[in-house]
Amino acid sequence: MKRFALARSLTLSLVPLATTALAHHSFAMFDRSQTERIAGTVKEFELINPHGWLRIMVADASGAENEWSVELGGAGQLERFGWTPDTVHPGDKVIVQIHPLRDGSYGGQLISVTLPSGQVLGQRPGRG
Amino acid sequence: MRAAAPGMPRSSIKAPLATLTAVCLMPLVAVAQQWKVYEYPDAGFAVQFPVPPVVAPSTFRTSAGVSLPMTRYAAREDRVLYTMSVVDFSGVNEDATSVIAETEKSFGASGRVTVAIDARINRQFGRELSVNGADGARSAVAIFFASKHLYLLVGESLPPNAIARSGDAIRFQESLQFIGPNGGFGGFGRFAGRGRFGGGFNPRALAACQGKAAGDTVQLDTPRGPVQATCVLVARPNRPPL
Repeated sequence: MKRFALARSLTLSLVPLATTALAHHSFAMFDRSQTERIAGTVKEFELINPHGWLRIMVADASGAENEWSVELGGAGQLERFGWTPDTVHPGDKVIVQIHPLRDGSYGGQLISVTLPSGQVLGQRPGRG
Repeated sequence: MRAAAPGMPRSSIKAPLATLTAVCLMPLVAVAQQWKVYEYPDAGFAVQFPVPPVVAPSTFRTSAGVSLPMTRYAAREDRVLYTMSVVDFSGVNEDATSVIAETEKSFGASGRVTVAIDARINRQFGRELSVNGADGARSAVAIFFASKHLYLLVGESLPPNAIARSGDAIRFQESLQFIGPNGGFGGFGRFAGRGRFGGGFNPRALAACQGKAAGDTVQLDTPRGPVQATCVLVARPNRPPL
């Protein structure tokens, strides 16, 4: 008896599946024991493989704006959790929760993002 | 923000083991940043650059004084230097562990290594470093050895205020992929190596949607039997003017 006799919808992409991005690399440069919450303005959003990227302008203590690069999962993975190419736009005010980079560079691995609407999207079940 | 350290004049590219004899045949060109994937199947890797890289042959000298052929893929955008060097070790008898260790050691000699950690990319294991140069530069480094080649990636954010572009250097580091025989599982699906499913990505999933439109239902054959699937398009959003 075939285990998958029941029809089940899968989402296929016409570009390489983002599931491969989950095993692509080990995320060694991110400190997954730490989380940071930063507020900023979206500069660019790329929903691509193997990793999407969210670039946001974040003001430091002096008020100067610095560009942060936040790494996301692949396009297919994000789509499963509700992301679309229109999820964020340049100019949007967002709050991101990240695993920061171990060396203090301006970037991190996305845990979740709070959109201007208040909706929270993440990369794992239970987060938007 | 890290304070810039006083000291030695900065060299544009960190020398890993000894002297890199760069033969730059073309000048580096800076244009507006638009990250793209650049695939080099013959070299077994793919990586993203924000501007088109210049590819040039060069020479790598080992600590033992042996000259090895090297190919350098380099670009500069804003105040970040992006360099991927692939050194051919096929003519010498060196093991991966020794080559990686010596390369890492050389970065410690030329700067302060703030992070040094084991890393895996696809099915290759290596090291990833963060290095603060004596001149205030910050570098994101990846060191791997596969198929008798040393893969040395350096994303160097230049002073002053090197931390300002540090995210770009990290992005460069994070974009490295091994493809073809180096790839194995993971990575860009269509170059994910040989094997039953092209190294983890089912090529039949891609083929099933060719010629189809978004929303079309197809049947996908899997090892566990046929399943219904839906084709979707994944599009990169156009960048609107700010």
